[in-house]
Amino acid sequence: MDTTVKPQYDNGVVKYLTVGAVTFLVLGTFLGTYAASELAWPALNLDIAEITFARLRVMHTNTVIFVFGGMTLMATAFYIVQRTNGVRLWSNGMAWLTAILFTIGLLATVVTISLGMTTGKEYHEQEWPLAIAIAFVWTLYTLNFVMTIASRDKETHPNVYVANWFFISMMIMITYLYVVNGLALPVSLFRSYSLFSGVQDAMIQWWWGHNAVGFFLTAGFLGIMYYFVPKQSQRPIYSYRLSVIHFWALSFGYVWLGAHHLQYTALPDWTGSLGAVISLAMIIPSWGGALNGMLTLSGAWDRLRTDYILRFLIISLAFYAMSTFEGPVMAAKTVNALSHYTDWTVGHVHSGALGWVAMVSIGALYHMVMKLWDTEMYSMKLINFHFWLATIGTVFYVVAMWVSGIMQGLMWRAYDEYGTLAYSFVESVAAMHPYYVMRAVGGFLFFSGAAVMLYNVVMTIRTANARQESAATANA
Amino acid sequence: MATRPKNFEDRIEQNIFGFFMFAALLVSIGGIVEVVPLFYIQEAMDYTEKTDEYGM
Repeated sequence: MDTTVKPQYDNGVVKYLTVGAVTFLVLGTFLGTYAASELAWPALNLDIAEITFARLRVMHTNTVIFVFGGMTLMATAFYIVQRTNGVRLWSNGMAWLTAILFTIGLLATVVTISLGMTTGKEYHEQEWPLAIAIAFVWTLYTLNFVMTIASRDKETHPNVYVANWFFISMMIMITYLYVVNGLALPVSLFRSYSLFSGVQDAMIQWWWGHNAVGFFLTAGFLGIMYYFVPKQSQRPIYSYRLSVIHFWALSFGYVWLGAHHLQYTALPDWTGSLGAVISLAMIIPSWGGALNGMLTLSGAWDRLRTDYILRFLIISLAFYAMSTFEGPVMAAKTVNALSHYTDWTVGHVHSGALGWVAMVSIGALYHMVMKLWDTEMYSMKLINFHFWLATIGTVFYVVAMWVSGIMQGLMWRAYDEYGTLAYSFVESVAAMHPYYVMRAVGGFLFFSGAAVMLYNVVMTIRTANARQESAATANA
Repeated sequence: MATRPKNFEDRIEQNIFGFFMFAALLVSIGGIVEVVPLFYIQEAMDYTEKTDEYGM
């Protein structure tokens, strides 16, 4: 077989999803920045019900996690599966259907949330007609991905590459979680009641809630890391064995962690403790994976000085390592007693979401834009500018929430010599104001970086043809 | 140059449907252990008038 002939890939749907992901990164971080500003300056809700904090926050989480994150996962999955298996998509038409229905379903979710329609289940707010549609789209996505791998030439590609494993475990687990947690009894077109109640409902909700983080936002994005870090650094992954351990330990372990969200509640003690213990054990595969990514750069660290896309990928692994250490610490009961219900949790989520998920996505998206349009970026300097805006913004955000969260927790539990609480709740709210302002500034910096990226991507695509021609003339 | 699978890991890496089934089994365990017992533990159930009627 002539291995020098590259097969043609289905790039159209990947292009659509890539541009969509960048667009919704801008929109989603804008919603987040505005919601953060409402907390600092409540008058900003302008007394409009549709944009009050309670609704805007949920619109923000759905836009960034599911529209931006989902489009990134779909773009990269369709991109990676073709290239690591040396085949075109099993069904390009189905991939387009998946991408378009996913966009419509998620935008409808964001709109219905602003209109006040919600199941009230965190990260699962869409009412039953939309939930069924999204489950259907997810099934198409999974089917297409698995069948594409199955259609590879087993002579040239005997073993399936590790990036694909992570995508598959995400697809399976999200299907389980989304279907079970979504079981509900509809009473009208936009109203339904969960099939579960009490502590069972809480446990199922957080089994979903934590694994939306563990699989949608971690396993899937690790799949991205395992393809794009070696590609961008032009080195093979540091250790194949480590990736085998990372994958199986992470897939088996992550599903147990949901219980740590329910410490000191009606949940039986053993379940919360089990969640905390396995959370602690998860440091090992998580750090193994982070090291596997970082050490891929062994002997090529100097490239971080010149390759701005690689910077995004590597700093994302630093944040991944940091937040996968912080998470188990917060899952421990003693720490949880202080941290739960405070801003510390919000800070932890954002060090993962901004530092890890968004940064690794941004690196992958820049890489894909250059490959898909077969050109250099419009401006490399702007990528560097974006990198610093994103990094400084994330650090501002996370540090503000650490200080605010620990202060909140300590103020709530402080009592005076007579055993009465030292502070009223509202005093703790007033004390948080400066940190809320600082958080809004951090969010604004991150949003500005995303806007710079959108401009850079649009200009790259618009000028791609012209620059290819001039490059061709120069080479002729 | 497909070679014979050396071990179980190698075998499921080459058989995507086998991989899918094994992963599906593995990720289901944690949820089953943590969720299912809650439906059978007496103290985890809310007491209502129906409780006596239907047991628990």
